[in-house]
Amino acid sequence: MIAADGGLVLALGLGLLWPRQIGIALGLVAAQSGAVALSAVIRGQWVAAGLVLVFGAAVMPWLTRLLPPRAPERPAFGRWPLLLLGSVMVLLAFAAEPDGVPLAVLLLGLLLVAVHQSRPLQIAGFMAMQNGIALAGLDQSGLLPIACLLPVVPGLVLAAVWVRRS
Amino acid sequence: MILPALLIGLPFIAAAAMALPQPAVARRWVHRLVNLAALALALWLPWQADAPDGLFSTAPLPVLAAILVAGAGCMAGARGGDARPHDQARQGALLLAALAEPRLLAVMALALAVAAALARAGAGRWDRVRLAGVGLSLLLYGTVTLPSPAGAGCVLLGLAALAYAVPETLLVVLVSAGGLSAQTGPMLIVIGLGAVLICAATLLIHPRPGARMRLVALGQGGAVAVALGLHTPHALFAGVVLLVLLALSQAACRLAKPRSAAALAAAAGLAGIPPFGVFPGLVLLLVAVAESAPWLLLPLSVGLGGLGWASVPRLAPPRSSRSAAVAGSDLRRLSPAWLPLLVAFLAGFCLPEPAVVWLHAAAECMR
Repeated sequence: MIAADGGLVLALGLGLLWPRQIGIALGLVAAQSGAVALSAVIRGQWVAAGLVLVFGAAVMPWLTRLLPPRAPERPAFGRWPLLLLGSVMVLLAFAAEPDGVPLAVLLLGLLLVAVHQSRPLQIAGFMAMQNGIALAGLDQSGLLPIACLLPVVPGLVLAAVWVRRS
Repeated sequence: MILPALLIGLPFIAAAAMALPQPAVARRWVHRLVNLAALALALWLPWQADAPDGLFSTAPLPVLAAILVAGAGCMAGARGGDARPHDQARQGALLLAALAEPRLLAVMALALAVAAALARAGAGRWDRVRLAGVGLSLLLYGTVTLPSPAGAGCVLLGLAALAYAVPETLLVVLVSAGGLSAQTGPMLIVIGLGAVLICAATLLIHPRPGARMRLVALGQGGAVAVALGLHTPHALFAGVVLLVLLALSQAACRLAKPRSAAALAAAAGLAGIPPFGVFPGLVLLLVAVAESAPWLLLPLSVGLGGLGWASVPRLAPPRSSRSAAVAGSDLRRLSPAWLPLLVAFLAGFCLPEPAVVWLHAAAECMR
């Protein structure tokens, strides 16, 4: 069951490489956060699941959606080369770690941040990276998982966008 | 417990006080006084014999990081200019990142320092924001999964990205990397050597006067990383000494007025040209490299030589007669930048025995 929900998070991470529309990308990130919350529920971590659902699936996508649209998206790669690159990253992650799902999700988010020009899509990439961190934190004990579930980095980047605009 | 908490809390209280409406002169004086008090408290820390409380560490390595951060803040405050609450918030966060015992608290403090630094800069450069975000994400992931090699690699890559995006964090980042040197030695050497060579090549091929000193400092930071990555007692000691001298030289560069004699001495010192600056640390590093990994001598020497050579245009005398007159008058006027240069000279060539023992203890913390 744990492997299945990890696979869902990973599949949604790969799916994030496809869309160019901000609404679809944010929806996919929210769904990915939902899958991470499902992982937390399976592990019996109800507080973690609640935090991921509130911040990852609701608050952050909503705040990102409020950003006004900018110039049309012109990513550095086409869709298929991007998917190929993403698949290579997934393979690298599984070569580096036995349970490579969190690292793969992190690297796919990093790829999104690197190739997209649009800021909302880059913030979606940061949120995907945060989902990878949260997934890795679920296996830890103590205060560590709770602390790394908070969207510190996507929040910081989003705040930077708002500060820049104002 | 009380002294570290006071040291960390003071800048945050000052930031809150500076946020209140008040004249710029009053804010500047609050900034300077708090920086001086923080430096005094940080220098008092090595004599603190508190038992570890699980929240703050008073081991030599974190204390060294705190002293360097406090010293750098003090020097930056002495430069004058507009003092803002962000500066004190960043200072407090960096001190917390240096002294925090739980790793996650240190990462969160680093995130706060990055936020304060970016807010001070107006978040105007999106690439810096993006790189800092990537660095923080990698650092957070690595911290969560740390005993694994992939986690350690993520921490190092995250720290490298942070050091490039937000140069103010360089000292804390290097000390944090030193704490991981046992697990990540070869990777630290690769990252450090890469930083030295890339910075030297960038400076030589595509020189940009505005970024020159930043790139030279980053290259010297790479040399510190190489020293820490070698992980022999001599190399670790060389790394700690180089880190101290780098902090002092950077402080001198920030303090000196452009095109003044002090600026020339500080730039030469940062580039590794004797007698001021990082030169003694580089000698110690090259001796340690020759002992343990002689094959590294050639690329490292080429990189360090490139950094020195690329700084030569900066050392050229002023062209116009007016700037020559300014430089001449500056020779007769005492610049505050000479203080860190003098301290670097004394630390490099005639460090007292107790200080050497303490620096050895700081280096031993990394083993």
